[in-house]
Amino acid sequence: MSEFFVTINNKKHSVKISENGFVEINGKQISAELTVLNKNAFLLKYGNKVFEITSNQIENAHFGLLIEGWYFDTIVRTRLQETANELL
Amino acid sequence: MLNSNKLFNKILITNRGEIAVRIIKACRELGIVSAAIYSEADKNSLHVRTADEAHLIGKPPANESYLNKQKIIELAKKINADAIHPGYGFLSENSDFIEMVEKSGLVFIGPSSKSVKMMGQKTAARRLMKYHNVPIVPGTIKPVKSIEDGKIIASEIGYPIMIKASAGGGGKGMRKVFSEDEFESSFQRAQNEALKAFENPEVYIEKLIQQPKHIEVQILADKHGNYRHLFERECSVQRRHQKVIEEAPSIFVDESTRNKITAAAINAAKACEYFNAGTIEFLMDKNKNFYFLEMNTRLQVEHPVTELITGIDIVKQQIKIAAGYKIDFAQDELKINGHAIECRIYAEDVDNNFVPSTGKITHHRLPSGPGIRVDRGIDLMSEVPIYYDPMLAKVSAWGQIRNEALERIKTALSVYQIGGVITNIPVFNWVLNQEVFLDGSFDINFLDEQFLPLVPDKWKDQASIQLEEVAAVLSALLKKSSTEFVTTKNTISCNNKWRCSDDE
Repeated sequence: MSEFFVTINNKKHSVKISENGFVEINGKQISAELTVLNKNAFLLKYGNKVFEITSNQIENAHFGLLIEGWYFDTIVRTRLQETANELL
Repeated sequence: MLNSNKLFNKILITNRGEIAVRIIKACRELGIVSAAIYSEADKNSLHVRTADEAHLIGKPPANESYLNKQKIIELAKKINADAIHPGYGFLSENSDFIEMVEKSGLVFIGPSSKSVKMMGQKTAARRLMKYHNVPIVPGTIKPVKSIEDGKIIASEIGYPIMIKASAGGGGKGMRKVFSEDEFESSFQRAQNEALKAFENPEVYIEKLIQQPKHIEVQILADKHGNYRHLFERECSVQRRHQKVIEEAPSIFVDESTRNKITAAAINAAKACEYFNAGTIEFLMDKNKNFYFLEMNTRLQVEHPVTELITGIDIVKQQIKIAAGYKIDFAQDELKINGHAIECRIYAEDVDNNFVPSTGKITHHRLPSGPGIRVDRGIDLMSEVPIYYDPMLAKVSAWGQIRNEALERIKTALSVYQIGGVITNIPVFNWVLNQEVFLDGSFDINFLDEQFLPLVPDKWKDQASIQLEEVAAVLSALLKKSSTEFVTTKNTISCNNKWRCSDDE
């Protein structure tokens, strides 16, 4: 199980990824299956809905995502990084 | 010089963006050489690369390039073009330009300068329509000379009224007036706006039609006196008088109303001795009474929905008509087949007062599937410059019934990806799920009254909250995968159970 904290528009989401094709987002478990189409394009089957997503890696853990016409600027941190960030 | 086997040898397309690309496609199908013009800002544009030949016309500002009449005509002659297709906007309804084309010996792919002049002045057009029994909104058929005269006329018609620019269009120089107290200031503002926008301060007065629908009829007419209508379109989804979504047919129009409004449209076209493609716009009230609004003497942005339900290629018809061909189908051969909806994709920041979003297209993934059509002026690495209208593309969907077209366009919009600029795609998700849109009861005030008060932020619904979760999950997966993916030059492989493919 890997745990990440994703900040979008100043809102923090907790995401836990298990190795059995499930994720837990903000305490809610849901199936998630990722297909890489190319370096920047992905299909994410999230629950029973498939999303076609474009991703631009701005920095190491800073992504720009385009989903259904919406643009999301995301910053991903591990638990350790998040704790360090909070301390700073 | 016309080639006897071809309609024209070469057409100069004096436009840019999606409509230039659309006309280039029609030329290609007809075996005609397409010549594009472009400004310095458009040197890498799709229409430049798609045309058989492309010619730099000037600097980025439109009046130094796409509106430079003399330079365009000189270029057309220099490259031995036979005809000029203006598309829409720019010089398409400029009667002076059309007259210059006519006098130069070139063929203008559109109506005569005389017809354009007749319909260009709104009060003159209203007089003409009244004379030919085309219903007009009750009001004046001559410009109103003074505030005092205007007040008398307004009280005779009865408030609420509209003050409109005689030379107007696009909502400029237009004011709603609900009582005599507001009349003077509204009259002055309308005059000032009209002067600024059209260099003509003349205004006229109409009764305000409450909660109307915008219904328009596509017509085609040849130079031999044959007139056809291609049924109606509904364009009531507008933001500040600019159309955003169009569909054909209108679900509000029944067969009896359709017969009346299409007959009125043909009358309007005959009244100004029209030939080529044109559109007669009407306002329709709740009781299905309709009133002439204006005639657009050119190809319309929204022509694809009519093409989808009739199977008629309007641009190819325009070219054939301009070359002197007769329309080769009878009115009774035309049938409405299914339903079509079009959404205009703009590069604009909805939450930032709809300010145009400029820049380079860094990602472009097109929707596809049964009944989907995309008319676009962009591709990967295209620039969206600040100088022109920021419409990037039009996504249209056809279905056997309206619901099928609706579902198809929703799906298409959900997968259409344009990176590098902000687009209005998410707005359609809001509009296409509103009850008033679904049941067809919307009118031209729908977006202004129901959507604009929610901007910014409040219009973002539950769906966008779910998308934020999706974004969070994908970001976490990408972060996790970045340590596990092994990336080689052309392929991506992974060593965990997340599935990988490389389909592009």
